[in-house]
Amino acid sequence: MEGLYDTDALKLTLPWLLDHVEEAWRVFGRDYWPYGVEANRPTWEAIGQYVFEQAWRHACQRRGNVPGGFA
Amino acid sequence: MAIPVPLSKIFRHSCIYIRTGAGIERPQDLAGRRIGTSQYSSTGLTFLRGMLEHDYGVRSQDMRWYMGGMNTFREKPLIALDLPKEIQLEFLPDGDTLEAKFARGELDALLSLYIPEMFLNGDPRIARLFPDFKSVEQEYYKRTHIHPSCIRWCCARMFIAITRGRRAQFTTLSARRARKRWRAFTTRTR
Repeated sequence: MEGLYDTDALKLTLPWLLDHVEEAWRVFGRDYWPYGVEANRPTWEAIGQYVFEQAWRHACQRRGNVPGGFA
Repeated sequence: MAIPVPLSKIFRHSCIYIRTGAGIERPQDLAGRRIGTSQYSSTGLTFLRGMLEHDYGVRSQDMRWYMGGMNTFREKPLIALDLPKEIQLEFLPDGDTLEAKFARGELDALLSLYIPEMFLNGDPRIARLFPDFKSVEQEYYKRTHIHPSCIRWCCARMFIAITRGRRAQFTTLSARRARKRWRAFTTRTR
């Protein structure tokens, strides 16, 4: 990722790559593409919640058991 | 040992396309509208629907869904989608496509992870709901810390390879193919 920020030669054929990287740093901080559970927790909690709301809840209700902590 | 790795992350506000002249100016205007999508149950669409519901109060059951291929006819799946009964979803009939239906004025919006051809061709009948999607997505991230992603479970050694900057090679591969490629790579260099 750090390799993208290089003025010797651009690593992608995108004329303002440098500016895109700097903009990403401004929004996300230095590590704009973190791995691991902790750094991605808000995203993964959101998708878990959405899947529950949009599908699981109805499947669980049909089977008569809504898991605790969700409903 | 499996480690969750987000290989692809992309905000989805840019993926909402509206029919110009349909009177849709804000996300709330999607309520009661006819929405076309080719992948109702994808992760991307799930993030999109969650965002519409939680940020703008437009729930999935407030829209009428149409599913089919964007430009080529796609058969209705043999196993029915198991959706809550309040979701109204119809499959396009024989030979019809989402973009054709949109062009006829029979769909008001497309929620598409692929850029519609009409949009690529600069057709004036289609526009993004958020033309300034970058600032909307930045505000969304700062507020929610959600960066919609596609999660792959990777074995530890593959994770090390990815984090060492081999990511470019792996991103376009499925986890299974990436694992195969990685195995080939390790046996070659050992």
